[in-house]
Amino acid sequence: MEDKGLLGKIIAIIPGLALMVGTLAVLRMYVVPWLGGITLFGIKGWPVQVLSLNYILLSIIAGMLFRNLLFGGKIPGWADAGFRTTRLFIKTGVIMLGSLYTLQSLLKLGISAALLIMAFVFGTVFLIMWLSKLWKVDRSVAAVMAAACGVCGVSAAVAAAPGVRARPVDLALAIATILGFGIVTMFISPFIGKALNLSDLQYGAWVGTGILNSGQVLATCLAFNPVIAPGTAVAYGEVWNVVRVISIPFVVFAITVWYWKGEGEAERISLKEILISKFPIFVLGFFGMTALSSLGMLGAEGSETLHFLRDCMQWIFGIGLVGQGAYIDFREIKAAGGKPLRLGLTAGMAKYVLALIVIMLFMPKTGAF
Amino acid sequence: MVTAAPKKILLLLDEDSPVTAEAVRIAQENSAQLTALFVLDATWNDYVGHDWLSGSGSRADFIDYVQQEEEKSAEKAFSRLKNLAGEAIEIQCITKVGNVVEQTRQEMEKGYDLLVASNPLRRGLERIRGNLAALCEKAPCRILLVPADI
Repeated sequence: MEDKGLLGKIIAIIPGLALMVGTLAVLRMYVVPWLGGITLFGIKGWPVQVLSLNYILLSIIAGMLFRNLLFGGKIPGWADAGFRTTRLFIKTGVIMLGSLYTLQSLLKLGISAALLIMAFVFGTVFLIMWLSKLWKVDRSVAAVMAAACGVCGVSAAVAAAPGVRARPVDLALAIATILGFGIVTMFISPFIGKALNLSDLQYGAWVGTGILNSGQVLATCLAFNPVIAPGTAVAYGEVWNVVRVISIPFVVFAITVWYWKGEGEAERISLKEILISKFPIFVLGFFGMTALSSLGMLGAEGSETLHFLRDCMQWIFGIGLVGQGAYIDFREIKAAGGKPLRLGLTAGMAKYVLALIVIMLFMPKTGAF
Repeated sequence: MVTAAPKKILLLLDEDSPVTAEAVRIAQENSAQLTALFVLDATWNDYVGHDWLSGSGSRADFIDYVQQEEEKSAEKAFSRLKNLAGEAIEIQCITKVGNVVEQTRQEMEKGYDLLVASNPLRRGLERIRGNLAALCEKAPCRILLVPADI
């Protein structure tokens, strides 16, 4: 393959990135204000107020339209390098989200988040293992689905697949299932949250626990409340999500050990090796930002610096989510099927509904900040 | 329509599809030269574009793993083909890396009489993409589609 050099790589990024930035600019400057002025059923701004069609969901929809309609199912070569920056944008945004917390608030929220997440993560893993035995599903398929549904969607499936020798085709079906389920929950959750009058804390905790994919947790929180500040849905949802993300290597290890028990010839690796190779390093950046915030180095609440930082985050997430939308291919999701689909839907729905019930029964309306 | 017996056949291989046996049968009946193409799907990196949590090491492990699995599939497919064909026909085996449909179309341009492929396509991520129509569009040779599950 031709090596473009650093300058060439940067130039290659420009067209796709310009499209993502331009799309978000048009959505925020023209489309959202226009939707906000539409009165339907006696409610001003009904599409935004009721359907949550704010800049976040619109960004994802725009990305999906690019891929599935404009690009004919494949991101074209000229835009490819730019769209690949999606990961970088979302990771940067999540690192910056660390500035919403102090170590004290994070600790307080983190304990309840950790308890809830661990109960649901391992509950889902056990449910899938039980179902796979009942339905006679191959151990490697069950292991990938357990990681994907238990922890955080595509990333956990990617992390678990090599250790459990998953067949690529099964993995593809698992990912298609997770994305399909995630898209539905991404659009219905804000509606359910508003209909049930959930607070930002309750909504963030529910979504952070019940939605399978981390990118979709982020989008769903911002769709419910697009404001990025302490005490908003995204601030709460991301604590739950970060706890989940940290659990990836541990859950991957547990699932691989379960897989080894049934596969005598499987390659063994230690928890230490899995921790080193699978730990999501960017989470350290998130905690770094929280430390800076706790030390008052980012300014007091309401300061110019924090205002600027949060404005940047809105753009960063918006751009990243246009890119996320552009990786959603309807044909691929439509092709989901077989045992991965049965397992994924059953476990996903159980987790989503049960998390809502638990949150409504036990989670107070207000939280640590 | 009267069509001449194929003398150069291109087989789009998959690990466990009836398409292999069908292509061997046609090649034997027509004393044709058979070229078997196995495309190692290199589009996995794009497919997991949603994954933004993993570090580059974890992603690299995953991509390496998928490549190894693809190579194993290729070996199995070629070995199955050779077992089926025996010594009776001349076989050329080609491995390409990239997008399955694009690579197959490029190979088709090299002057074959017939492409034999599975319906639906099951090579790599085509299992979920189903780009059969794109493969057939303005094809430079005749195409025989063999049901994948007979």
